[in-house]
Amino acid sequence: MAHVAIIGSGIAGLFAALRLGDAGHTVTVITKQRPTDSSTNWAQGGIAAILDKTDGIGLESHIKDTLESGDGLCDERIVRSIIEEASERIQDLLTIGVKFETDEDGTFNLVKEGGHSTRRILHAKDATGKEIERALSEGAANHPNITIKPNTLAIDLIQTNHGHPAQGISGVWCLDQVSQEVLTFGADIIFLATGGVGQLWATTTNPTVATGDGLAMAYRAGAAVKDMAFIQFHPTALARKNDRPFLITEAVRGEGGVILDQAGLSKWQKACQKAANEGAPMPSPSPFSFTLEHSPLGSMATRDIVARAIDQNMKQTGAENVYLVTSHLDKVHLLNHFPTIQDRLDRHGLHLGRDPLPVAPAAHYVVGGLDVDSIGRPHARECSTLRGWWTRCRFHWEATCARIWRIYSRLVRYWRSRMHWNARSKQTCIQQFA
Amino acid sequence: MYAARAADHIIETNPPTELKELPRWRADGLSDLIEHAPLINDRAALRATMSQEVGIVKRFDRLHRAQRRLTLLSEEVDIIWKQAVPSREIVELRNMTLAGQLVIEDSLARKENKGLHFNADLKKV
Repeated sequence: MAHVAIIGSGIAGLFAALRLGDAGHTVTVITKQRPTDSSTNWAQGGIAAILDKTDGIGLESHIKDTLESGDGLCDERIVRSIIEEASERIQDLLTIGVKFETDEDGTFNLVKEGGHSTRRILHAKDATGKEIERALSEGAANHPNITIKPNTLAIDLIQTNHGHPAQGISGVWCLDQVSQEVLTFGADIIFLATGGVGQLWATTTNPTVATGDGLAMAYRAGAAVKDMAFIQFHPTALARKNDRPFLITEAVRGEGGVILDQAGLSKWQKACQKAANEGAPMPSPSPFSFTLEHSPLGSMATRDIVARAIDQNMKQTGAENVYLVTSHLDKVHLLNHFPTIQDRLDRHGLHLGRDPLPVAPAAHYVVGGLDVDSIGRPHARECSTLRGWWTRCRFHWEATCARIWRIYSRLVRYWRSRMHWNARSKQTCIQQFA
Repeated sequence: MYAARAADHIIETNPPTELKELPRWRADGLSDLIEHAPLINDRAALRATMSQEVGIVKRFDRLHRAQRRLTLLSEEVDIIWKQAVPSREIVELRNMTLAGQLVIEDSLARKENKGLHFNADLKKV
């Protein structure tokens, strides 16, 4: 039986801890604060899954939606296998004690979110993550094989042979934030289940712990990373200096909310004033929106277009936010639909249907991360001894030698060809490199 | 999903335990470490740079500017890292700087606007 160190206590870390603990392995969960400080705990939306594995049509449509949302960048085999396995993982969560929302007849209440063509999302109202974290934490806290080390910050991975990442990792150095001592923690297997990188941006929906620790540690230990340019920004997070950004769902725009910049807002307010003086009805704010420069749909364009429009506008004007206006809409209807949002607005003396809401895009999710194989083992980065010149040679830890040799011999040939550039004809050179 | 796959792989292969003696963290010279000054401003500067230069709409000149700033910051962080007693502040700043550099590096390497990457200097696909 192995000693496993799991870094991170969100859904992935605790789920793995319970699975390994149940199988008799000795598990230590190392976590920077407490499990309740994880991003998982803050997640509002639900988990998409086809619960009936024999539902071929359902599976195919989920796969199709996913590939479309992936903009042609997904590996279809991986997408397929994940979607096909989903029902088993949901069953695991149910066994652990997670309670998803059900209808009166006992079947799960499924909802639809952006990118999905049908209702297939399990949820626990708007606090799904909290329910999952609760069940997992309770399970792990009382497990004889699992030790949770809170307030323990992993600093760096310990390479078995320093400078040779391919020989593996045999432990982790951690800072005990209570005693301020650095602990050396050995393990047979290190499990990285750390969170995202939202804290890199001034406005983010992520908790303060999301500083890319696992990613950076693994990178320093030689792991390859991939697709780090893909950072998802949510277009409309409430932008208030003394409060963390809070998502204002796109449904507010769906109900008629319009995005204006300061200039547009002033113009619209003047127009309203003029209309009021003349006894005319209140003009719609839509024609005053800068988003029309980016799409004829204006504020109702897709998430990426709206986010880009706001970003560009804020950069041009130097403003720290734009405004979501709702004062032209039915106040009672808004409060009925968005009670959670009004709850948060109360803290700042703002009201739906009355005040322009200061909003700005906020870093939300990092799509990229460690480059791993189909069971999550990281690939090593290019070997620095090959001068770091060969930037895209990823190799699997288990197939190192052959590949290095191939790359090395190709490089040697290239270097030789460069050295003899003047002495030989260009033609020979090209042939040799090819 | 991957948590389950990785865990199942460990359970199936059941690796034997062979905990080795490991080196202590900076076994030498730990006593020379000093307390570093507060780094709140550096963290704020990093976050401002990322928001202003590496936001939703990227441009090559802004990415390069951010890259220069982060290179400077990472050199600063390295100096403190080598001299100071580790704290959560410096550990996080060190990780954030590296993560930021990786985001910029990948953004600069991209030749087309696809997925969540959008660089106004690249032609629309």
